[in-house]
Amino acid sequence: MSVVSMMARGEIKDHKNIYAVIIIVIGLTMTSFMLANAYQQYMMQVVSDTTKTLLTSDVCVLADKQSIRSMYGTCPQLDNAQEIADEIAAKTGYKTAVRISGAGTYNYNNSGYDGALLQGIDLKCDPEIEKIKSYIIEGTWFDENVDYLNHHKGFKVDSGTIVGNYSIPYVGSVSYEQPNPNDKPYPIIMGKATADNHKIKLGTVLGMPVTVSSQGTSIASINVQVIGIYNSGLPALDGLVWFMPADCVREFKGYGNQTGTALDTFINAYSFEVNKNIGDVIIVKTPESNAIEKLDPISHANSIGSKVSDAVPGYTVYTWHDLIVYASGTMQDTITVMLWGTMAVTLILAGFAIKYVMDSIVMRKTREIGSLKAFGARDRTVLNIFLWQGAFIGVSSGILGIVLAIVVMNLVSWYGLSIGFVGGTQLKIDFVITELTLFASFAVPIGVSLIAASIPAKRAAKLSPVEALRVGELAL
Amino acid sequence: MAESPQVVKKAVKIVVPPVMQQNQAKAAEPSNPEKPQTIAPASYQKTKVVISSGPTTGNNGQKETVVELQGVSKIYGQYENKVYALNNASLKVLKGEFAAILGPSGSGKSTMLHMMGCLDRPTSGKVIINGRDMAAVTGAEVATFRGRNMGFVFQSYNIIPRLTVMENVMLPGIIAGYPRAELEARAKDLLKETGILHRADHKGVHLSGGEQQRVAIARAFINNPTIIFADEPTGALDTKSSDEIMGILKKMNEQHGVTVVIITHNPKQATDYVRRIIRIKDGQIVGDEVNVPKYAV
Repeated sequence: MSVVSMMARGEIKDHKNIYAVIIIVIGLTMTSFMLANAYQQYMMQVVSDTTKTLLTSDVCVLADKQSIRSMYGTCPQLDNAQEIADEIAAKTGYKTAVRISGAGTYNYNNSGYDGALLQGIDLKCDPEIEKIKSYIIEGTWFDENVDYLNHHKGFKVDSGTIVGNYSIPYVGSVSYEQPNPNDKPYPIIMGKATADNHKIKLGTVLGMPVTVSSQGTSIASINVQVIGIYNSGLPALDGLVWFMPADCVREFKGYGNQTGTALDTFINAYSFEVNKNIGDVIIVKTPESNAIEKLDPISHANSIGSKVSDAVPGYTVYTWHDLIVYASGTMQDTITVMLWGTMAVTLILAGFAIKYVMDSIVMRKTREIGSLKAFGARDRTVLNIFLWQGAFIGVSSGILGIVLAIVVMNLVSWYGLSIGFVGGTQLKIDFVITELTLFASFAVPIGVSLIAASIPAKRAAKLSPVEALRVGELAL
Repeated sequence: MAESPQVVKKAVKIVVPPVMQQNQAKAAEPSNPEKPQTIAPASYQKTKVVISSGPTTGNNGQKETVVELQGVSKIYGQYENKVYALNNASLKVLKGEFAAILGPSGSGKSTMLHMMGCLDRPTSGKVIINGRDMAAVTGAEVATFRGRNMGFVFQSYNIIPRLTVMENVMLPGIIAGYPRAELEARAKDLLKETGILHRADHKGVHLSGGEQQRVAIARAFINNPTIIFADEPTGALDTKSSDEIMGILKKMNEQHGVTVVIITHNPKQATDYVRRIIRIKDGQIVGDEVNVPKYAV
């Protein structure tokens, strides 16, 4: 055993009570940091995963000068959406796909109305298909081999000019299309929150007026049938987003050409072919982030966004993080900053405690330090005796914090705590321990303890032997 | 400059003090009834000057100088507040000597010991240890040199209370990096010599003053040093314990041949035990004489 560890162990034994208190305080700080951080990471992951999967993938591209609100069904169509998607893929190497969105309302069980955001999915190349499929808890995913289209547009009705009676002389006009009586309903996959809220079961057919223009005045009334129910883990989005094959949305939104073949002249129905080049939103999927990119996902998202913007200038680009900020403000980022801030404040206080305890040790043990120096101990040896104690406090606190946090996480998982949502769905509380969280929980207390210990350690090391012996004598 | 005293070769009647006689009787009981000669382990002999028992001489027949002060002054304060703790002191301490620095409180004797022990640096003058000018040696090297070549015994023992007696004795050896097994064997021998082996596993805090000082003496010898400095080693002890401690120091000096320099303000203690008395007053050496000690081991 070296003199450093022998003397440091002795000091730790002598001051075991105060050191235990410091270790427990720092350890509990790290436990609470790790728990909060791991839970926040889990929620961040749920939110970002759900947002990415359901709406944006990593990045989405809209027509020029569109607000993010346009993604909710009112985005102006891009006539060359597939070409833009291909161009992005060619220039960046990322996966791309076209989505078509629509916003509509539906009547459930003749007892009320609710809204839904339709996401038309390219069944062949949408990069999020596998993820969406993994969310499905009832029913099935769309079958690529089934023809879900009706191959015509609905019966168009134009309200003509609506004139007001009083101060508003002109209101506008509404045109809408009715489904043909023999049309098959379009298939949809809806969220569990919606199904639970409105007691909608698999196979239910719902009538649904959908906005088909960016101005919101052209409406297509369609019938949809529930073929699947998914649960993404975030009921707020599950209650809003429904999936449908992209061509179905193209068809009822009129993204294609009427061929002139009359199917039923009485109801004004003509044959219609969808144009697969037309879409509303292009989504972009990047390869899995590496470890460094995972440390700062927001910056990574911004850099991908810039890369896509550079590839196709003149379009509006939003990242998944932009959408989260749009939906919930910077709450997640603020929580992250506050978590780190809280940890920093507590650790600074603990650092001061370590410094003052060691200051008092140096003061009381001055004669001992003088003796060690008289016996041949170098300054570095004395320095290391105190740094060793700091390292011991740091390592012990880190291990204690991590172990306690893991125990609590396991207890929570074992007990099965969950969050209840208004829709009646539940989200199981879980934790995601990132490399950064683990590293910070272990390294930060060590760093703080070493920095705090280094101040009295340097003071002790710099004591001249004769001064230390003399002061020590006086202290007696 | 005070010159080294000549070795007194005339026959001297040695009187052993009563306390020492009792201790000698006790010391005769252990398994090694002969002189408890401690032999330095191999690792020590590689790095240390091997000191044989009794006075030694150099090639020219003169005793080797272990410590030499050349015009050493230590000044505290500046301008009108200048205080000369040590004023132009010159001195040679020879190998195997048992010397006392005697002077009243505040005379500068502790300062002189600090200079000789390289615990402090002089304001002017040279400190030469084993022929090496310590002014040219860095702080870290001085520490290592001090640890391997010097032993210290303090008035207040400076035993580390939480360590066992054995650990306390081994401490300078652990600092110097000597092998633990060799240190343990040597510590046992030294504890036996100082009559405290039976308390080897006790914590320092549980020892009496006299016992702590025995441990301190054993600790001072652990690295087989060239010279031992004892700063008022009996200052905190009663008469009986003081005699025991002085007897042990004298015995260690004679049996190990290690130079011992003690500081005392007690003239009787000096005249009773040491062979050379250096008198100091107001920071200046005012006397350096050969003494015929009253007691022998």
